[in-house]
Amino acid sequence: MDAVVDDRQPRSTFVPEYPQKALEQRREGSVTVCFFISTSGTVERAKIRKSSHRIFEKPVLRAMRASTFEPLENDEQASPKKTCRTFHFRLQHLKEKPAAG
Amino acid sequence: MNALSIVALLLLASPQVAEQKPGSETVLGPQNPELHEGAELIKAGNVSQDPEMVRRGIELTQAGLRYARGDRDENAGLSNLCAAFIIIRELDRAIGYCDLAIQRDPNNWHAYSNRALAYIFKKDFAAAERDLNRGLEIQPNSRILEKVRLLYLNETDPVEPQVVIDDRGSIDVQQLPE
Repeated sequence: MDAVVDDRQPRSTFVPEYPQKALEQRREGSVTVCFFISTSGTVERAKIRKSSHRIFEKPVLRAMRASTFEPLENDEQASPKKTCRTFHFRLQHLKEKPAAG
Repeated sequence: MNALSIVALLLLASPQVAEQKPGSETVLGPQNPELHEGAELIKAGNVSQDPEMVRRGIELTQAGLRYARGDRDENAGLSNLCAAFIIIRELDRAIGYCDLAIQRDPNNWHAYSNRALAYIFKKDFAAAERDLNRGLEIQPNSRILEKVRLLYLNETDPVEPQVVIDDRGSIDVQQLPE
C-alpha cells in the first residue's frame, strides 16, 4: 500500500507583493489560505480560510498558485488533508518613535 | 522624490472655458488664454522636467491673473502658481500663493494638498500634517491627498514592508465547508 505523505516540502515559494494600497494606508494583516497539493507538487483548489482584510487576498492567492511542492515518489500518495499557509503582512518601523512624555 | 512622483501629486486647476451660445458656430475657447496656456506650460514643463517651460507658464499665469474675471479663474491661477513654484523648488513663493488661494477659498483642498507638499519639501512636518488633515476633512477620499500623506509618512515614519510565511497548518478536509 502507498504511504500517505502529509508534510510536503516546498519546492518554490512565491512571496506575495505587499499591496500598494495597503502600504499607502499603512495597513498590516494576515491571510490564511488552504489548498491541496497534487502528486506533481502543484497547488490546487486554493481558498482563503481566514483574512484580516480583502486587500491582501488577491496577492496571496496569486503567490500560492505560483508556488510548488516537491513531487511525490511512485510509492507515495497525496494526503486527503488540506495544507494551510498563513501570510503575515507586517510593516517594520525604521525610525524609533520618541518616548511619550 | 523623483519628478514623476511630483507629476502625480501636484494639482493643477483648469481655468474657465467660455460658454457657447446655442446655435453659434463660435469655437469654444478659454475665457482667459494666458491662464489656460500658463497651466498647459506648467503641466508640460513638469512632465518634461523643463524648468524654463515652467517659468514661462508662471509668467503667463501671472499675466492672466491681472485680468482674471471670477473666483474660479483667480483661484485656479493662484493654485497653479503654487504648484509651479513647487516644481521649480521655490518653496516660500509656492506657499505664499497657496496661502492666497486658501484665503480666497478656505475649502480649496487642492491648495492644502499642494501646500502640504511644499512643507514636506521644506521638512516642516507639523505644518504639512495640519494641511493634510484639513485637506482630508474637506475631501476625505482624495487619492492625491492619500499619496501626499504617504509621502509625509515616509519622511516622518519610514517603514519596510515584510511578508512572513507561516507553514505550520494542515487541516482535515472533512472539517472544511465547501
